[in-house]
Amino acid sequence: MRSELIRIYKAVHTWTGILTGMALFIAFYAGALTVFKAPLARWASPPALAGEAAAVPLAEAPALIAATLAARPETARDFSLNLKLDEHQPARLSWQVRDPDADDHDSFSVRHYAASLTAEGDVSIEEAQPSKLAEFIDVLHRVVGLPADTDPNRWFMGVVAALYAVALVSGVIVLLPSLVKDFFALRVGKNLKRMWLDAHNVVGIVSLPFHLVMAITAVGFAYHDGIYALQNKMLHGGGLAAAFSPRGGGPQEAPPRDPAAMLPPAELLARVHALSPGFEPERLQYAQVTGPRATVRVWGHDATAFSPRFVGGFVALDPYSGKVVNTEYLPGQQDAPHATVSSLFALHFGAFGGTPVQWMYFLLGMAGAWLFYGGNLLWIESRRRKAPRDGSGMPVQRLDTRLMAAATVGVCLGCVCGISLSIVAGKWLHGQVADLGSWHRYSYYAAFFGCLAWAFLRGGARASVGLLWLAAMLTFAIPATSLLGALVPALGLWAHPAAATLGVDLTAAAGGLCFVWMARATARRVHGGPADSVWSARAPDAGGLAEGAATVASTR
Amino acid sequence: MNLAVASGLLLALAGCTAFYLASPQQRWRAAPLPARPARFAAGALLVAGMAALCQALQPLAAIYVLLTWVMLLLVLLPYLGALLALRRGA
Repeated sequence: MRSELIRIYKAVHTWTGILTGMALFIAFYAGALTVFKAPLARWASPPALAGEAAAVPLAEAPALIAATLAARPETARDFSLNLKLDEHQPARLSWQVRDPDADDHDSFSVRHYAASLTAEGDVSIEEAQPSKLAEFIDVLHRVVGLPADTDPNRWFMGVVAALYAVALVSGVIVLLPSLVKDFFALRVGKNLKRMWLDAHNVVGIVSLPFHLVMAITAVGFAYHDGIYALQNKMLHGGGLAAAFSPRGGGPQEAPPRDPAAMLPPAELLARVHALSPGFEPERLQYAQVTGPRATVRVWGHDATAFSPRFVGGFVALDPYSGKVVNTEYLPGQQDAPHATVSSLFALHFGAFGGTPVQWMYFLLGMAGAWLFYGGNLLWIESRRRKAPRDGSGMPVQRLDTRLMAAATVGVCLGCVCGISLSIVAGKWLHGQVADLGSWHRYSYYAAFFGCLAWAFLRGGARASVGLLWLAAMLTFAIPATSLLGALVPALGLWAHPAAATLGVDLTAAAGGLCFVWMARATARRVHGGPADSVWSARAPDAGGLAEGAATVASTR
Repeated sequence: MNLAVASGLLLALAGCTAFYLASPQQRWRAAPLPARPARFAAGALLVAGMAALCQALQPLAAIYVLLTWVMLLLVLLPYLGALLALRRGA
């Protein structure tokens, strides 16, 4: 009975893993990079953005706000005063305008504006064109490689995440009988199935809490809009937003207020410092400043606490009186219910512990990508047809294993190549194309589908070496582009000297070296390893799908 | 990096290494460390690491950092062991 149960769970684990593994590879590879979303955005931002807008000192912010609101009264609804200016966000004052017809999560249709003061004290308003590279990689992460963060794509991602959770639980149950005995086992030897199983289990079991958090929160992210809508209708009679509003209950009709009477930012920041000395403000987000419910959310981080959101946490104040109106999202000062919910967000995003934890999440994310890639390798190895010991002929490998090998290589390396190409395109195509955000997509999917087609055309074994070399070259192109930008500025490329952007180049260089190592090791396996495998170029069926089908037909 | 955080991470690294080396499946040494003393030392080092992290971080944040670090180390240590075993030709 026990072995029967294990067999059932093994089948569940296999099927859920096979159905979702490649989508999860994309989610984890892109997700690992998204940990460094801000450095990536800074890396891809041209220096031209850092123009006059950066020159407005904080002390002059009240004049900037007043002049901007006079020129664009509609901005009173929502604008931000940025305290940390960098390559990606050089303007002191900025706001966004959403396309009313676009999906709530569609960040690509958002238009960005920035305001600054001229030498004469006049306001200068420009539409900003921030890089959408990091956002695009984040979208790939959020909707498992689909092109846009829309409701249907998120629901699809939710199904993938739910199956992922089932795969995790069933995988643990399958492993339970040998869990203690084989804990830490990674037996490298002639038994390849054993090796891939160990390599898969080590990552899966040890980082199980990380993966459970990712799976559960991803399901939540996929469906929370629907859950909130249902909750609003069934429990709150349509008043959910008002119930959670920090300024709920105030008068709805009142004469417009004069933003010139708002406290200066320095005074607001002093109030926040008095409330939470460890909190480091980064942005003041003003909302409805001419209305009765005027609010300013002071966003930032507290190095000693976890943040409730990827971008940090906030404390809400009345910008006129300086009165604190909401601390429910203030890092380190949340009550138990809010801290519990925020913990889930923080654990998904790695929003605690600063840069060291970002690197840990990056590596755990890459290990997660390896977990799914390795799972497919294990599936293929488990179905391998070995040559008879009497040397009576080389078997033809099963069609499903050859298809899986091609798909695994094509999808996974297609994702790697696509992301690297999309990053490089951020600098090479800047100023050359009208809509660079769309070109990030075009370059990614061109590489992705190109790799996929190549893998099916050549077969998994033969394609893998070339695609790994391509991944290495495209990834090396990231630091090479920056180097060219520094050495030959006439090319129109650039290289920022900031540690964060140099970190992107160095990490890409290290990634390129990893792909070179993998390409060389794979070449040895493909050309010199046992021929009775889908991973051998010497196998009788090593060609692409069409060639393989012909071989199968001829051997029957 | 904050000194207390660095100390906490190093102590946890030592603790996880001791825990791995006490395993019969470890591949770093010819033989595993004596299980009970090594596991006791691992536990003590992890507790000390947690205490160090708590000097710089709030308790929940310290727990999350420690858990994340321990997960990463316990994934990496067997892979390093396999790499060493390969290099030794085992």
